[in-house]
Amino acid sequence: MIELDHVVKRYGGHGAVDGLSLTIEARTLCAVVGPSGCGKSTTLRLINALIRPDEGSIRIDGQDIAVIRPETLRRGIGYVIQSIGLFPHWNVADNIATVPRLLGWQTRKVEARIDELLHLLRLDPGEFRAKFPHQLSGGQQQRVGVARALAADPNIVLMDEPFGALDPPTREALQVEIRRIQAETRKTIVFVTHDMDEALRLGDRVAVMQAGRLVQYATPAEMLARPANDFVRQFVGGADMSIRVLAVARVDERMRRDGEAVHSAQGEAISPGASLKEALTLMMTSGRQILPVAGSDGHRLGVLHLADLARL
Amino acid sequence: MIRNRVLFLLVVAAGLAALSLAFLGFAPNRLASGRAIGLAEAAGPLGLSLILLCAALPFGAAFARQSRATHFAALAASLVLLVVLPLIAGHTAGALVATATPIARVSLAGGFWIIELATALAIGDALRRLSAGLFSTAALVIGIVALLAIAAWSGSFDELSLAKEAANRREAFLSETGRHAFLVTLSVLLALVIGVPLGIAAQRRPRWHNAIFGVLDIIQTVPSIALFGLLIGPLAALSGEFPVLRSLGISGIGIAPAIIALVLYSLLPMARGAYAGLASVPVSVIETARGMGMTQGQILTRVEAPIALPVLLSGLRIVTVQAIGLAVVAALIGAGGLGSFVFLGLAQRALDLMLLGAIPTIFMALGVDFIFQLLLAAARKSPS
Repeated sequence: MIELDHVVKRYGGHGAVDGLSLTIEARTLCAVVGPSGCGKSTTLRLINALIRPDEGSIRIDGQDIAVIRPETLRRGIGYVIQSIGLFPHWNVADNIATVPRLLGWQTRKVEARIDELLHLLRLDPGEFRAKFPHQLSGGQQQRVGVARALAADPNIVLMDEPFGALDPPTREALQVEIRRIQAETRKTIVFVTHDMDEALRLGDRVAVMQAGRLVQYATPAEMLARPANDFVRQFVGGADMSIRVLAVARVDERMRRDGEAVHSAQGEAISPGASLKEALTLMMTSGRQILPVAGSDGHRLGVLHLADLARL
Repeated sequence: MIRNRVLFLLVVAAGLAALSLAFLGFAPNRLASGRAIGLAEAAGPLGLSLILLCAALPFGAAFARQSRATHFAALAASLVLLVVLPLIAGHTAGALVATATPIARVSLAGGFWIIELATALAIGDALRRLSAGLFSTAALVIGIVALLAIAAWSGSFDELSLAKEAANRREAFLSETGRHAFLVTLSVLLALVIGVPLGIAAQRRPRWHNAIFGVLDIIQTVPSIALFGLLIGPLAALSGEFPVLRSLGISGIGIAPAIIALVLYSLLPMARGAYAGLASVPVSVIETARGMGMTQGQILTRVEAPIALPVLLSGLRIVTVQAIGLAVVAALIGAGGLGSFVFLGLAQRALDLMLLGAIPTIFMALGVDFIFQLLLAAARKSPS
């Protein structure tokens, strides 16, 4: 668990972070989102002590980080940045091995860990271990960047707009990877982005920041349903907001569990965990207004009407 | 139609030099001016036909359709010429000296040097066109040097005035060459020890940048003779004031001011190299290195130094080659080195004596430059 308690960081008289209090639960992904200059990257760099707060305190699992040697603290926290920053003079394997070697792991353990992480990031060890960063595409480089951050199995991973410089298909592929890795490894991830779609897609909770302050901290569904103020409403996207709701809300939140149609609905069923966007897509492609909802074992759970999508 | 203008020009230049300039000079003693001996007379009919053949091949190659075969032909002919000319000169010198008094001198003249230079340039041109690697070039250079060294050792050049000058001053030649290498090595090491931290400081503290490079820039603009001279006064005063310095051998003239001046000249390129090397490390790389928990020392030694090394080595290369040349001037203030032959030769108007200082200096600079090219190639190769 990461706790920020009334944290202030000033640059040239104005507060880049201005009285921020935020609690990030262990094993969840917190997406910090806001316009550029809102203090989101500063917040991230405060957590791994790359910068020190002027006021307030930061605790990780209850311990104030001010009393921990910064190098020790950082070796226990994964760190991924937009410009990736792979070491150009080291190959992929050496890059990934950075923190384990700083921690003095046995060679055999390091080698095994490199292969494990390359598999996790879907890079073939035989092909990629000996390659140098300049031989990789942008997407492959950031996969190595993520693998390097996870190398010493830290509980916490900080990501500063990690996919901001990648083209949209690559970015989406890596977003999928992050969700999968988060589900498999249960890390505490703080994910900074200026892209609200990315924040809503990835975050268990989303923290919206403006001018160094926290404006709203909520689950994606809550944020779309009840934006705290006009700033958040505008940020979550005015006219597009309803589309975003569809992407965030799940079928089982809206489906009807009883009624005559539950057993009579025909055609391909949709799973309860699917998003409403997927349900709408299925309705449009199959020309139906009513979809049966069934679990993976085929058991009929309920039914979803087109009208159910319109409720906010 | 001329297809290789460089080669064509080199052959023409060598031909003109052969026709219009003396190949050897034959003088009754080491100070008198002598009789000019042309290439044809020096080489004799057999030697001349070999030389003409070696010249005809590159000349033809300059007009032929360019291919690896023409480059190889030009290369092979130039290599033969490069080695054969000194052998002919040495052989002819032996024959001439046998007909005269023991103090008669046969010296290498302008024609010889220009043809040798043109030949060396033709070899370089052919190697470039063949895109020869640094290591095959190194092997070739070592081969040529070894051949000439064997010839010299077996006495082929003994009757040439340059060799006689060296033989007469054998002790002095060896010790002054050693002294020259010592001056250069010590001053470059000191410049490395002082200049690299200055470059690091300028990169770490932007405020110091202008001050550091401002001072080093000014030092670099002082003419070398003036700087050597400027140091005499203060050092003489210091050693007069503190006898302990005198007992350490530090005085207004000699090694101390020479080393100081050489170090001062070496500081700017050395500090620039370190600065530019560090500046070439991407900010994002430093950021992630810190973010992953490397200490400042680990970042410098594991990340910044390896990435900066090629740029630093280029700085070191400039510094060393420059110091080899500048150390010649240090002889003026009594520091010794190969420059002492140059200035002695100037004073006596004895060209061979000047060359005895100048030629080893040139070869030392070329050799060191070549070694640094090999090191740089190795350093650039390792990260990729």
